[in-house]
Amino acid sequence: MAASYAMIVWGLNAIATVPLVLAFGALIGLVNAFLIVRLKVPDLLATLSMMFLLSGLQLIPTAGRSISAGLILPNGATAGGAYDPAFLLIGRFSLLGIVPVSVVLMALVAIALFVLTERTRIGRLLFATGGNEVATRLAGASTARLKTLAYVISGTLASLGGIVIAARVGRGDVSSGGSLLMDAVAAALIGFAVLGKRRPNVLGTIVGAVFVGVLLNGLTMLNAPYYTQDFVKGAVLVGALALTYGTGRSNP
Amino acid sequence: MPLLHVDALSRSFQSTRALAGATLTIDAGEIVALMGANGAGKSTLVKILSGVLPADSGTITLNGQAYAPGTPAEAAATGVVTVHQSTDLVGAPGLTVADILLLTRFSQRGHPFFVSRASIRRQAQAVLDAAGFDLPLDRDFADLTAADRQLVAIARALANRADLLILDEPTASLSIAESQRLFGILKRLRDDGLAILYISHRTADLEAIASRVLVMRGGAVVSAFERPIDFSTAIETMIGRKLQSARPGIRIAEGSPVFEMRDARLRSDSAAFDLTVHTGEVVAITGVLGAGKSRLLSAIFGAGHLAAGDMYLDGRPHRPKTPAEAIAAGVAMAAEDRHRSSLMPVNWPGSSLAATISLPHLGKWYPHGLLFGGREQREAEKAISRLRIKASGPQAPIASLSGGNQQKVVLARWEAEPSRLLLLDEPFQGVDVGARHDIIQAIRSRSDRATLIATSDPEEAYEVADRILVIDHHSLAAAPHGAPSGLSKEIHA
Repeated sequence: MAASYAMIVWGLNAIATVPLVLAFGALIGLVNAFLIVRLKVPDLLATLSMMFLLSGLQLIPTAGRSISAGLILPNGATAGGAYDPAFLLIGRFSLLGIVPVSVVLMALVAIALFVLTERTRIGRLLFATGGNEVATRLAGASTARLKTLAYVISGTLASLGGIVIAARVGRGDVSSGGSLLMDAVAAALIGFAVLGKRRPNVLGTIVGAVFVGVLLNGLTMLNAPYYTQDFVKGAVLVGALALTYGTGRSNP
Repeated sequence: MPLLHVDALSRSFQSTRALAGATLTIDAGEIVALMGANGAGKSTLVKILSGVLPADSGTITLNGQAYAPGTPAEAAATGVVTVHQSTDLVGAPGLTVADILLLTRFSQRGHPFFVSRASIRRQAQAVLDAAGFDLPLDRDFADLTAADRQLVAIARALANRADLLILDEPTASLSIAESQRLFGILKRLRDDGLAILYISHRTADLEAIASRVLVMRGGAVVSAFERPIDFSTAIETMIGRKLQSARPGIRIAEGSPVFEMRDARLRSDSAAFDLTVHTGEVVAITGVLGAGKSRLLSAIFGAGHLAAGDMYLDGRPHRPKTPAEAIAAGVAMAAEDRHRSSLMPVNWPGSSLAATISLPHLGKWYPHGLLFGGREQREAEKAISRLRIKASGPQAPIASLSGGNQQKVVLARWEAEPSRLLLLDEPFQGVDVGARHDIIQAIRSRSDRATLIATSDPEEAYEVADRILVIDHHSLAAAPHGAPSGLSKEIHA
């Protein structure tokens, strides 16, 4: 939404839009961190209510309309901008005709996060904060800063995901990301269970994401009705959770 | 005929005999105090009496009938009620005193489905009247003082007909005035014919209310003391040897002061005290649970703060706002309860032996931020050989180690980098005798820093320290330089 608005209404080009949107994602991460770290709002409640706030906020500038070229604004004027073709390439171009840009982006992000989480000091401390926050603080780490970092990274990556969708769809659809929340949660939780790690990990999350993607694609190709998809995703998620926590408990 | 007769009660956990033929009797209308060092079998005895654990062998007779409760509820129904040390679990915020008093009644199947505020108040008032307490029925649990929580727990325990009341360190978190109030109530209950088994280390408490003192050691009741009670002998019996003979080579502090506290107050209503710790000195602070040991160490480490007063490290003002600042200044702390305060969960990244040691030092050992190179591995190998840690290697999961070896790893963490002042809070929790010996040796082998140890067990304090200070009601009592005769006096304090 933000990317489309920047280009269609503000008339920005891709070079300006992408950093602006990423910065907006980082800002939302900061707000989350402020709520959770400073105001001590429980994390699940804080992010959930921010989600309501933002999905409501995105409707206001366009009065609930999706954004495409020639959008009529709430004040009656017609927006003059258009999608930068370079921006649309993010979602539509394939390197050498085989590897889509979005896959390359995923690989880059995955490699960067893998190194960060498994091979760096910060990654160790991030896991330590998640595993035992008291112990991490008593070991001299600033858990407030680490949590803020985690939320900012999360917000920025979410906005990167938004850019890819906007570039692929070619319009700022008000509900385009809605179903992806569950997909992302499912990917991370399946990643929890596969590879026998019983903890969040980058490789497992990729396996989970591919699994969810193949599953949905397979259902489509099998001509399964679109309305069964949510049920299947939910069933896979429940199964993955039952496996993770059920087996986790029997092996203390 | 005695009210309760326990005969040759035994109970083992795997290879350790927690209770080895304990025998005791309690009469109606007396307060019997039970003393014993950690691991003497006090809590196992209480657990068997209150129906939490079954005994392996031995018999208990209550009112002339065989008594072997299977659950705490069964014990309470027979007339034995227990009030545990931690009163936070008595109720929950959002419940009023009246609700908490009637909780056990609510959980009975026969209780009516609908309850009115008026009937709750009436029944709760009846419970309070039966115990003879005066408590605000409408006060929320969260707003109660520790003393009131203790009284609520006792009142609820006495709601049904009780013959024997077991109290576990009931004054641990009470002020002197609150303790006095509790003692008055206990004496009245005693005069009404209730038998009370009172578990405590506080000799002042026992002096005030105990009719008799029983001392446990090695799972058995080894001696009984009638009034007037000779506490010095009782403590020597509890520790199992003469106080004088057990001292390590005491080093009277001759180094320069490393750390000083001036006019410090842990709470705004507690007494001010001074503290000086010298280079090469091991100082133990002992006191009952809730006396303020952990609060003192946390304040020095920047995890808490003083209500008033100044701290100096090597003569410079020491005012850490976070543990990170304290560590940078040269203070290290292995906090109480290593699982909560130091270790990562099972299977989590950083739960290996090497990663446990390296956690506070990652920035120093890996200045570029990338965890490449074997620094962590080498440091872990050094620690394993120096502290004789029994583990399969530096990558062994910390959960696979025994309690004593886990504690050695936590100590190794803070000895991996030099520090000026090492704070150890209950370093011998769940540590067996052999490992305890290794840890004491390691602590005492260093002369380049000062060590401050908090422990609730006077015997441990005595084994490890050059000097022992007693903390009570959030204030330190001055104590002479490690003079052995001082210990029994300090424990009396």
